[in-house]
Amino acid sequence: MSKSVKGAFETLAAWYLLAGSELKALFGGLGISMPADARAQAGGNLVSLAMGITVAVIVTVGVSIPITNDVINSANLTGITATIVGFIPVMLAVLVLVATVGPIMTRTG
Amino acid sequence: MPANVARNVLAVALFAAVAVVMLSPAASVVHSNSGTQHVGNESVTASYNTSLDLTGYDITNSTVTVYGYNQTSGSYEQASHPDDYTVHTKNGSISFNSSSSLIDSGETVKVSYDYQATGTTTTLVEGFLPLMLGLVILVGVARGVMGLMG
Repeated sequence: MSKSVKGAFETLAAWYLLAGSELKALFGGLGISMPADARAQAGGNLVSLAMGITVAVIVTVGVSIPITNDVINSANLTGITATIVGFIPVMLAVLVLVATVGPIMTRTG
Repeated sequence: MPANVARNVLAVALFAAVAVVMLSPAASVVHSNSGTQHVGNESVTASYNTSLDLTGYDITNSTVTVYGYNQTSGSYEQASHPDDYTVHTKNGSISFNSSSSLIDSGETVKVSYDYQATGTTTTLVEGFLPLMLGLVILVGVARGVMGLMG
């Protein structure tokens, strides 16, 4: 994973951690470290899990993906660039899906 | 009932209540931001030969309906394509023709259309999110029950 991509994920992880600590396991599994201040704010109980995942879903599906789609459609991209960039909303959706799988796996494993 | 058991029951019940309450807005956001979405009577101030941005993008051309105000009859009438307007479906914009007999520059035009909020794959993945949220609640409660059973 390149430094820039890793940095982007760390920033995203920090935002999500403000809402719930359970996603820490997901990002930790990807080898991404957490900022100390974000880790300190993590709650770590069931209620924060529910709120964290819900906020992550709402922010990603309601804000991140629509903005990404809007920008991609406005950019008039073609060819391989359009193909690659077209996967970004898909990967954002997969990211949130995996974020919901992580807490389930930690509780059933 | 020992105090710790009561505390665990309370924690699980609180988690279930909060999670179910939070599930509703999450499912609503997923529903309103994925797949094909309809925009009805979006108001646009007409300006000749200028691309005006619409809320949606990746618009389905066959679903576009534009209503312009007819000052003679005093009511909104359906405009015709391409005489009155042109829709740029990919980036979601509309431009009005100066030769239009119905639409005048500066007047409010109402546009209705369907647009693809997300692609097929993204829609498929997003469709599973409410299900996964429900599963998180179920597993959380089940884990609490199993913990009480010892």
